[in-house]
Amino acid sequence: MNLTEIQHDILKEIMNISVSKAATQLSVLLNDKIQMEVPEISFLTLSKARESMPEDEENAIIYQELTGMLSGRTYLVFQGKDSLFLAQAVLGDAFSRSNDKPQFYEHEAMMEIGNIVISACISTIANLLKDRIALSTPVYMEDSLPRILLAQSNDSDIVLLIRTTLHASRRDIPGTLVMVITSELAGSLINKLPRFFELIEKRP
Amino acid sequence: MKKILVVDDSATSRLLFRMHFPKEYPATIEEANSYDSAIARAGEIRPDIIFLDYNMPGKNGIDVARTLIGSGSSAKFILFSANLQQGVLDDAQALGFTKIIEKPITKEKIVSALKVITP
Repeated sequence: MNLTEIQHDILKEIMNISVSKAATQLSVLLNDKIQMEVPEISFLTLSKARESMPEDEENAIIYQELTGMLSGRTYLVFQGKDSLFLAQAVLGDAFSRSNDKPQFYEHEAMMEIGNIVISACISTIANLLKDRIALSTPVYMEDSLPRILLAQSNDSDIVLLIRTTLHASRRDIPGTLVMVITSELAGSLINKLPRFFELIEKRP
Repeated sequence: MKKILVVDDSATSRLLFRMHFPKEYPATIEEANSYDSAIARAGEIRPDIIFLDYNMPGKNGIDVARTLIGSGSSAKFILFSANLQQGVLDDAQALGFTKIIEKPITKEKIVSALKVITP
């Protein structure tokens, strides 16, 4: 499936707005300034998508399943497995007070970070395209993203890959937001892109 | 003294709620982590205010409110979620939710919700 130049541009703008919303929520959660890269958008096979990612890197990954207008998964990927640092940033003193179950709260905090960032992004996409996207509850894993993608899909699947990186200014743990949309519903997403213009036209 | 029930499957989110809840506000806070535990706990304590997360395993926060309203609860419902799709907002408003606040939770957001209930 190929996107026309205008379709690509609309999709990029929708993703830009949606990821900006996610970055804002992450900024509130971490009390830090978040810088984001312009989202990359491409249709490719899952194997090609995996090739563009570091194979052996261990990641702390939170993902949620998407159903409804879109079908696929959205992953929030942090380099390394040091989620302790992020859990402390979110929970502050309460994290030290909960040190009877540190790993429980570490993983819990990561799932809540993922839930807030992914939900903010997906809600914005749904609102811009005037449709609904259901989200599963978040799942936390420590593995490399290419291995997880391979375990969850087939290498020959055509997917819409949307990827951007969020950098917290005071913390050296970049988070990458990766959306893998299955091609069947990527078509319906593209058909709905004109709704973005309807929304703009209705604004005063 | 108001009785508040916080319903969220995330222990982190419930902990953040307690961290940010204004200490000067006279209230007791109880917790539930699922649809079933929320219905059971609400039946026991008869809360005045229920803060509900939307996205939970199985039934969501709006389902909790719908069941409690159907069983005669007079609690005020506040939705707190990062998933503020228009369809979710429409469902919450149709059920008469008093306030909708966006995660992540902050003290200011909790105070603004409490002000709507007890100005």
